[in-house]
Amino acid sequence: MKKTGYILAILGLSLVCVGLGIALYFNTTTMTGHASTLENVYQKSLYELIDNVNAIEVEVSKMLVSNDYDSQKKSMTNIKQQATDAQNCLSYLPISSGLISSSSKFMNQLSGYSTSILNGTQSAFSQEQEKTWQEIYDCIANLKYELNKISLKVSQGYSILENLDNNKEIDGFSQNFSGLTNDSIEYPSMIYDGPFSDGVLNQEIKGLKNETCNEASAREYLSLALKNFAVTEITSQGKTTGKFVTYNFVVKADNIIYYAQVTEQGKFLINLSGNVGDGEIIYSEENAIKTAESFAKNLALENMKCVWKATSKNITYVNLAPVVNGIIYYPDLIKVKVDRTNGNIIGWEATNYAYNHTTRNNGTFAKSEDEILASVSSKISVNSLKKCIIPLEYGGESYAYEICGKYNTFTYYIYIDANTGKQIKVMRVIQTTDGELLL
Amino acid sequence: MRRYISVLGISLTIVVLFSFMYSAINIWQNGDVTTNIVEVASITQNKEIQQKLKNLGYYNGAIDGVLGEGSIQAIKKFQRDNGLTVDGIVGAKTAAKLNISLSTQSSNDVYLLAKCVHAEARGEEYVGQVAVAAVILNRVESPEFPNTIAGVIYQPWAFTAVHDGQINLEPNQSAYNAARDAMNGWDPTYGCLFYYNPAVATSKWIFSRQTVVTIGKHVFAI
Repeated sequence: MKKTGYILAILGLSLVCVGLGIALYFNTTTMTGHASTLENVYQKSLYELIDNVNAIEVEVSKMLVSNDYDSQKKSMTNIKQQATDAQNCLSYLPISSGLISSSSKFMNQLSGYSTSILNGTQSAFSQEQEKTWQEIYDCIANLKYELNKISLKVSQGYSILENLDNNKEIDGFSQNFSGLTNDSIEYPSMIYDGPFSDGVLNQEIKGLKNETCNEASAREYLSLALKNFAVTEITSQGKTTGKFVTYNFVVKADNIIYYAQVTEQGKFLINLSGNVGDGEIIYSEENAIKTAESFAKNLALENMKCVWKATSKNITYVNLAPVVNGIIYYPDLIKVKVDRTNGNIIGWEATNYAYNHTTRNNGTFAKSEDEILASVSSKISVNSLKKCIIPLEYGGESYAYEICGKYNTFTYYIYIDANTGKQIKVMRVIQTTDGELLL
Repeated sequence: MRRYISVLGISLTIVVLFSFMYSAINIWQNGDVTTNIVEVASITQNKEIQQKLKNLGYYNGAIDGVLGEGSIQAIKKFQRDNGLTVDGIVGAKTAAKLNISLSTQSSNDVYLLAKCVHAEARGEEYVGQVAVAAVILNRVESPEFPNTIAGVIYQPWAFTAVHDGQINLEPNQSAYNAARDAMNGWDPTYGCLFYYNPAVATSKWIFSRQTVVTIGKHVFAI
């Protein structure tokens, strides 16, 4: 009996040791494989980044000595692609974002700058552009120098994974990129209208009145704005001090808790966010639209009409825009969320209105409706034609005609410049699992 | 003493065996999360098909998104009556006759955004979750960050919850709603690119960013 016990114990312990050994072996093999794969991905991204930067340097230098604009355009097409690829590679590398934000911005703007020149109608570089390309070249040459230092290290056996340490703010690998910051390299300003341009990032605020208010006055305004919400309590939550300076409040009303933001300039409800109910849907989309329009009217925003609606489960999103003399002002869009389980407004987003709303008197519709309809593709079965003002992709606005039509079961919105007759953009209604989207 | 050794040996053996069994079951049960998205997309489309057929009098069953025998027979009858190939499959021509768009897209971006919101800000008030989602979208728009939602979320070292695997938790409805709101333009931070919890953040660099607003536990900065 005692012998059996001993044997069992030894067998058991042996099994345990063998089992643990096997598990450890497989685990280690798997982990080593994963680590190796990850090291390869990082090294691939690094090598491709260096290739991209080298290629950009060559293309820019060719452009600087070329006298043929067609040849320069080919170079810019390559630069645009290489810069986008370089930015992608940078984003795959495990580097502290503070060290690469300037170089990321440079690559994105370089791609945007090339795009904006390629989309233009010029036949040669302006003096300003020549100067900018020279600055870009100087910058790229410095980037190339820094990155080639890292490339040399890696080719001599430097392991990226072994130099990562997420307990340090800047680990061994990230330190290699400290030469890419704003302090080390002079990144040029690229002035253009296009993707990632500084003009797009720094938008002017036109839609708010000039007077400022204090918190007490903002609270009073909010209380009036939400007078139909059965509000029981409004608590201050401090201020936002960004592009908009707002007074922030938590509002309790029935079973809903709202977060509301009122702008200091102009005393304007710019943001409202509340929790959604979980009952049965009892409110129709049509009633949701009426509720949204009525709320806007209560805030003394005149002529706000629903220009788009989309429903996702029990929420209807209603887009309101001012319609003045039959013209839809799309840049001044306000978005409203209506809870269809109880008809409550649970969301209000008016940033575009705050940025863009202004009186517009000097636009024209030089092209007639018949001319515009004649210019539309015969494949489209036109449902409606409306006058509007639309925001342009990289700033500015345009008077336009909006044509809504169908082709092959899909609904399209086509925007045509009201004065030149040129197509500005085409959008299509997409069905998604979260409702309709316009893309 | 000997009895104790026997018992210890047997117990350890049982523990190891159970561990192996548990690991095996775990691995076997790990499904592909992305099938959820595809399944939801298909169900939505199928419901639309069933509703259309019901409206036209071809289908009497439940609008459940599952194209069972009843649905297939209804499709075949519709195809027969409309001079289409009778195969029980809603292809381009059958969809056109039914006036349905076949191009229902799954919302991968919303799902990914919701996963990150849930991972980073579950437990925060709703507006705080919207703010986190808005920061991610602001980064997509910013030239300083990757240009896609996936690129921003999976940028190495960008989000703690991605780094430690919490991103793989299934998001709740609140996270979905917050993601959707942010994609529809809600941004209570007005363009912030960073956020941190001052109680746990250790990076001197993040503290140097300009604070814009504090919502719940998070400070949002540019």
